[in-house]
Amino acid sequence: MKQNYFCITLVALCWCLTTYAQVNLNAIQKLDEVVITNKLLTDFSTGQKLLKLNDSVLQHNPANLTDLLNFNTGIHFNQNGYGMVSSPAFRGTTAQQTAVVWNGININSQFNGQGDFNTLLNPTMQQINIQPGGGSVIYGTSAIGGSIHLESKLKFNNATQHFLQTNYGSFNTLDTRYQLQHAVKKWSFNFGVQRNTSDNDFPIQQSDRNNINGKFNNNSIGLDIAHQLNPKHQLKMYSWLFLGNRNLSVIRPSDTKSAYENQDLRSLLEWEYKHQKWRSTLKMGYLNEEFVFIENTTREDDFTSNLAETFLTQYNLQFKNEKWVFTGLIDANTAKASGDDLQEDRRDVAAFAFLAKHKINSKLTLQASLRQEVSNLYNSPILYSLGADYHISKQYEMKFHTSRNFRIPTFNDLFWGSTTSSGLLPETSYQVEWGHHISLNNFHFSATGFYNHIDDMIRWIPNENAVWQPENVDKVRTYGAEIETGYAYKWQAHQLKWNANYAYTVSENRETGFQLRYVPFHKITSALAYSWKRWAADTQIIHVGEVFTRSNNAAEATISAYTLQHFGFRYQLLSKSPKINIGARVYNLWDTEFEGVENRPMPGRYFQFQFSLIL
Amino acid sequence: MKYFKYLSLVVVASILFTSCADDDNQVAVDPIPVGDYVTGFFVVNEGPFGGSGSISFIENDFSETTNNVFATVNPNDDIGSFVQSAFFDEERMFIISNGSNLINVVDRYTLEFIAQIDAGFEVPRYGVVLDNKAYVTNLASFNSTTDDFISVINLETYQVESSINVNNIANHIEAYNGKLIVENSAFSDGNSVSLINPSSQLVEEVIEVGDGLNSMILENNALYTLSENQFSEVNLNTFSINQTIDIPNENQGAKNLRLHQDQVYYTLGNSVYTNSLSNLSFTEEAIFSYDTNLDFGTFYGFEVQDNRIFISDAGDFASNGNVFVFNLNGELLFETEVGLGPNGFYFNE
Repeated sequence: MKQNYFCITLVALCWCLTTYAQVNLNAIQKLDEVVITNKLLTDFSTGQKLLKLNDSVLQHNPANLTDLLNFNTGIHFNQNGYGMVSSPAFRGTTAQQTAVVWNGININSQFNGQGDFNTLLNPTMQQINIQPGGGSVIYGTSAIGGSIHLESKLKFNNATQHFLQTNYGSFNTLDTRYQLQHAVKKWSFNFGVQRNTSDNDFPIQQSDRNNINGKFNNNSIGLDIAHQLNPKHQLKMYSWLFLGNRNLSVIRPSDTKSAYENQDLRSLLEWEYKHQKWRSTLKMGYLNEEFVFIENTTREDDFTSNLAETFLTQYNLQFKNEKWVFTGLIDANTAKASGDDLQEDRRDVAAFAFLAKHKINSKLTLQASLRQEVSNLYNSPILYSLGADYHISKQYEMKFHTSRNFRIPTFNDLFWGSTTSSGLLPETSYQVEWGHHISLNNFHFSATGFYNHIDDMIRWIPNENAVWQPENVDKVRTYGAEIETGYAYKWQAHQLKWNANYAYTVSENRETGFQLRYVPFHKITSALAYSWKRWAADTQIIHVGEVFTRSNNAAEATISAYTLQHFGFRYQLLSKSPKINIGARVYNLWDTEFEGVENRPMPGRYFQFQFSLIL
Repeated sequence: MKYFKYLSLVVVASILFTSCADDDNQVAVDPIPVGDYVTGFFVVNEGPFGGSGSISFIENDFSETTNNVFATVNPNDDIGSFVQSAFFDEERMFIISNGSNLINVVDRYTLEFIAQIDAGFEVPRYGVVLDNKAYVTNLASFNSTTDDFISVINLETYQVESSINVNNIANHIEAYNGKLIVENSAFSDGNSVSLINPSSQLVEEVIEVGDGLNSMILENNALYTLSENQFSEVNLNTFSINQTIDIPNENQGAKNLRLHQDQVYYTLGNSVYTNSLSNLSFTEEAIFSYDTNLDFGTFYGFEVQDNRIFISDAGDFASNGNVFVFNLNGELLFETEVGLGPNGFYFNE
């Protein structure tokens, strides 16, 4: 039965494509007057693809970034249950090898080296850019598999806009966000608050109980300000506070019930000076990351807490003319960590990078860059990247990129417990990718092949006293292909949009030849959206292939492949001040039983209702 | 594991003298155990993070290895996560899962499920049966070394009826002469042994045996302990140190103390050592070094029994581990794959 519905949807999808493939649509993008801070990303992505999810996509998707990116990209997520720790992995790499970049600065945890996508709730964020592949030359550690960029945008448009949205649904899940954008003359403000709570006690399929100890609340507040001092000087300030409070789901009622609280404060000041072909940018940032782990919720006062602080200064000088772009980058970064589980220590890093891009002619652009880091705690290799974009025709572009990237040992790796793991090396990777991009009017298609050669992967293993410690033990190769395609069509009051991703990923231990655990060979997503006058409907399909849960790929220890479909619709009650939309979504329409990580069941069918107001 | 035989004797004796006192004198002959799991030994496999542990059974003649025996016999029962250890009485096997604070009670010969005890534990570690009660150590909070306790289980109701505060780390536990002996060290962190009176539920004595205590063996009416740089023999009647042997610096890290036919066995690195109790110096030559292509889980389990040396290797803890059996000269007799994270052997004879 489920299979039938799935086929019908697929058929419907194909039918739409063939019927409307001839019609044109001019996508108009209005980009002026918008201030963004992460300009290196767009200036230096030669040879690599860049995927964008803009604010309308963010608004119509659920609050947590896991679902948003999981449904819309080829990135694979390992979720330890709904709302629990969720780690992304690009191209068969790990969460520590995925850089999370907020307005140009790397915000991966100093403790575990990864971004937990269920705690990245940012009410002022308006765009997410996703760059698969290496980016360590610009973003430093972790940009091996790819980087995910959370971007704020400030507008100098002399306008004021309020945005309020509430989602309420199954398991008493409530997400409320408010955003105010206000611009007067030379000032622009963007303020946002968001709260996301859930009892998260969904019934577990094929069992007589509900999810235990899954309750969470996430709270976030953000303020971004830009001030145009004069035509040459611009000051910007970004700040973001996140407070999360999660119980950690357990499998059995008798399991010890733990809770986790985290508090992340991120702030960034930027001074930009532009004069003719020169641009100088000084960034100063402060990141404060604190977590509290309550081992047993029946003993609230028995907890461990740890704190990491990062101070960073980045200076970047750029020269740009029609043919050339040169950038020099100096990055000084001091991080300190201390707490109940860590020996107190600090890490100082200075990094120097030089980037050059040359537009040889209208068809060919080349880019080269180098980075060297110096640190008190580890030796870093020289990192490089080389890229080329070649427009074979107006419709067909080829991209080529090769780079060396790394991820440094984190504070947990180095200082957890009573022993210092001083001999740890950074994980390093060489990689190459080759992409083909075709765009025909309102249809686009891209196929990218990649290869990653990763050495010194850090793994935690027990030592002779059964105390777990990190070691540089794994050598891994990952390779595969990514396909993205999309189509948009507009006809009178009808609008149709479709996009799909397919990722084929081999990620194998070079010594044993076994596929890494929890890396699916196949992942497919497809989304179809249709709107007509005040009505809009959309559906998303995600298929994740079987994964191994054992390092020797034991056939009896796998997590089965699953396919999910979500369906939603919206209706516009009022179209002008205020603009009011109401909508509803069904997740996991076919009530499919699935889990992302061994023994971590995920919810079956559930519902959400949405109300949004723009004034 | 001779200890279990001894323990069985105590239990049988207590049953005889209490409930069976009026019976005829027929009970002198042990009934022949019946079941699929009589003539062999169990391997406890901790299992993956968040998953379920498992039990493997290997026949004494190595004719068969059966993995997942608990789940096979009891498909509707839940063994729990991180199976830490097992202990026995005459008929029953008690399986401790410390990730789930559970004890499953099964028939030790058929493995048929009898009961599950799911309350009264916090990170349970090891257990022992004494006078028809089971005593199970609990580490409780990992942040505290003074909140560890012993759960006292009524073996008729299968309920935890009380708990004994150890006021120290509580890990391995043995019973001797009506008292409980508790190793005050876990993960080689700790330096003493406590003597607890189960009737008064009080700690009667604490004796220091050297920092970094990693093993404690009850044999020949004496207690032997191995610490980072000290081997001790404790007189159990006076609860005082009989003798100590200092371990030379170059051999620190010796672990897995065992006693078999008056020979002491221990491991260091990936080698097994032995000497007679009277000549022990911790400067012995290795009997054999154990080669493995699995890098990490070396000697995750170790036992010497019936002229054989049993080793379990947990490998990378992300795939199934292996069991190797050697004779006392270090010749490999048998090897087999078991479950994930094999940490100990329990002999059913």
